[in-house]
Amino acid sequence: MKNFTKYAALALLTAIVFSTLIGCRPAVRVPDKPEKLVVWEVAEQAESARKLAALFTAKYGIPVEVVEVANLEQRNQLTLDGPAGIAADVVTWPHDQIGPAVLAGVIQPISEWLARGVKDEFLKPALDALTFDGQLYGLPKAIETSALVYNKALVANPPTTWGELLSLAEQHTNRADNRFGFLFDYRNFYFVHGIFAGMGGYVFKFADGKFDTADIGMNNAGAVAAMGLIKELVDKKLIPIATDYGQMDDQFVQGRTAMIVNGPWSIANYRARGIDVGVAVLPKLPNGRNQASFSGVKGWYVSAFTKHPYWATKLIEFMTSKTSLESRFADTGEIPPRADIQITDPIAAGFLAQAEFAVPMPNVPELGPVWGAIGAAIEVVARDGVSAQQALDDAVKHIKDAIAEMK
Amino acid sequence: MQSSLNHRSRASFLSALFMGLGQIYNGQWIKGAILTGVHLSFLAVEFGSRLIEPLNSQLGLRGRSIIGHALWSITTLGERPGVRGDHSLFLLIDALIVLTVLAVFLLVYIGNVLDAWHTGKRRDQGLRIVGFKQNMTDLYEKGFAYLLLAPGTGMMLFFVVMPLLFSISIAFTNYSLHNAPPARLVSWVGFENFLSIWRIEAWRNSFVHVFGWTVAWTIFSTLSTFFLGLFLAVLLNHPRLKFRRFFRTFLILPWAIPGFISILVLRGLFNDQWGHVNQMLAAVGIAQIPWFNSIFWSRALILIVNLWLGFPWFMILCTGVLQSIPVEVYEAAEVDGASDFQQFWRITLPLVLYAVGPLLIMSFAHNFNNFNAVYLLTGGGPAVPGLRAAGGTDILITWVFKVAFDELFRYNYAAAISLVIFVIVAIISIWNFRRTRQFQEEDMIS
Repeated sequence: MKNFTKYAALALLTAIVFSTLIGCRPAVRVPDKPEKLVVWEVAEQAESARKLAALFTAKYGIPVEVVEVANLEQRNQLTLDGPAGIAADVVTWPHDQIGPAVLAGVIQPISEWLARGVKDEFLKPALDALTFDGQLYGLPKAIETSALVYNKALVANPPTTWGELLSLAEQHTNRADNRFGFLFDYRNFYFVHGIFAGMGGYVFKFADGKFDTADIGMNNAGAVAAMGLIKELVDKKLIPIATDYGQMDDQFVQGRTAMIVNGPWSIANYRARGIDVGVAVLPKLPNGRNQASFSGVKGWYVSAFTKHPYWATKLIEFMTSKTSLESRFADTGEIPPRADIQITDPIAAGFLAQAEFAVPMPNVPELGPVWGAIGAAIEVVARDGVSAQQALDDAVKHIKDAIAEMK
Repeated sequence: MQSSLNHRSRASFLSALFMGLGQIYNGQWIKGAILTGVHLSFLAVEFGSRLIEPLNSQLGLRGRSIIGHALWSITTLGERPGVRGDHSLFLLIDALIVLTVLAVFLLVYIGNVLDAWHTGKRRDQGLRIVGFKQNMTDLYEKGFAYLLLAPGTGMMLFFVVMPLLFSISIAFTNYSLHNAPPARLVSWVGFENFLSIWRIEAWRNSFVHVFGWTVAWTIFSTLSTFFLGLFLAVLLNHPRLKFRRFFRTFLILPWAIPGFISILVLRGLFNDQWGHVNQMLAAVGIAQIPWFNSIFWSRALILIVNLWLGFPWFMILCTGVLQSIPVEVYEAAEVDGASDFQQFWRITLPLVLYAVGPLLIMSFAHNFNNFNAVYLLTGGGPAVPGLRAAGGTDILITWVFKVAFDELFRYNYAAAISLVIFVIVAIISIWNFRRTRQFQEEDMIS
């Protein structure tokens, strides 16, 4: 008992000493420099990353190795290689995989290591996209969203309102020739989210940097109205039921379709195939509001397994600085999510203009069942004539059940 | 010399005590030394690993012996979650590896005891003891097949049996995207997954829906390819057919092109709106068929496409069988006044079925798991609302894939459904092998 008192007193003393020490320690203690840092980047953009990495090495004297790993492979590979100690320090993937990655415990929050003021330099929606449960997990390097992609040879002035879209679509449609004026992958929630959200629907309520997955707004009046708009396109035979991404892409490449909805990744191919491509903001909806398309943000994140979180964060900071992202934009054409970079290229500017109205895809894993459920709802409304309200109610019930099963 | 009758019991007892002792007792020095060495190295690895520091920490033994660690791993699946804690899946795999090696070791151990007993018996009978050199020669001469099979069997053990054991294990855990290491530990849940798939209405509906179609698909797809193949084979075998070789080559073509490619091409050809099939149908006045947008037609579509891909296989098989039927049988039938139709039903079909039967059953098993035909063509669609990750044309195997990797990331449920598939296919296969043996014993042509 005597011993216990002695140890208790010692422990208390130690605690007091340490708390005073913590109170006056410098804001960030700079740890020792690692021998080298490893970054995973997709093959197409590895060249640009190597360029930036070389500049980082020149500045800090830390060698950086850029390893090519496909976007969708990285999370899996980190889950496997991380515990084995052979994974990268810095990884990258689209932001909607952040939730699953955090739940799996493979990436870590970086706010602790960030320099002051860095956060203010990025577009807020892009940072929101990289925030999960109120914690920031990386810095954004690119933002993308779907916009109206049109063939300038067929359409001189892109439509700005829903009414204009309908009449232009009708004008360029020749059913006898199997030609349609406006096509899009209408059963893919990624491409129709703009209509749903613009009309007042929402996937999960977003407040205070968190998604309330219990509050689903995909069967409210706005969502039902949005479904009505899609149904109208199908009923008027402006969009054939069989339309999917592949067919839309094919028709546009052949120059048979004037307008489609697609993302920045598709443009290079269209240009290569000789289409004079224009990109415009998606037409305003009948309620006068802009379409709130889904945006995807790609960021760099710090592996939870790294031994050098401080220097990994510094590397990310460096690679997303104004000059770095300008160089990256010049090399890769991916749109940098920084307010201080001026974009003059008309294609990128078109997507950036739509990005202003876009909302980031929820990065919570509960989004998983939403894709299939909403896609199925659109399909049965268009195909079987089920009422919009009925189909969306069923879909929301399905999503809620599926989320409940996840817990 | 009374005790000499007991050489077999003594030798086998010694070998059971410690590997190789019995062999040494029998005077087989080299064999005994090798076996003793095996046992010693087993003990050294089992108990020595924890004493060598990098090994102890790298394997996460924390002072346990190797087998002790494996048993702890497989029973608890880890105790401390986190990046630097226990990784349930790795623990499970490590434990399975250790237990597999242990099983191999025990087999060798049993072999060692039996060997000592047999040699002891030879001594009891007063026969000469075979020396090591002779052992090796015997092994080379009599056991050559086993020598060749050994590496393959070893590989099978680690590349087929181990993963199988692993995925069977997953079916009894709560491993899903939401409950995955390193953030969380995986734990055993018994038959919970199987019960949940049955208890939760949406899952039960999905299972019943998918299972029903899988059975129908298996039967229709196999029988349709078989009968078309047989029909064409009969035609090709017709005595008055000219250019037989040309037709045969021509009809094999669908089979010669990789299914992966032809399925993707056919997918475009059958597109409801822009596909050439519907456009040709429209030209003759038939309304657009919703190949991909109606459950009935999409099911018809995958059957048609599978028919196209699958008939040449049965055609070739049946051609071979038909050529082996003696012409005299048909001549006799004609003398007896049998019509062509009767000849087919009474002679051709039974003889072909007799030969092709086992392959037909293997074909059922293959189509039961025909992932490509469904996934590449329709992706399981069209959508059926209310089902968990299942569409109108999904069969069990594509459903499993979607449950695990496409939409829900419920690895445990996917593993449980896989296990059900495994049991079904295993039953079909075992039944098939027994039937094959029956066939061999019967004499059909008498």
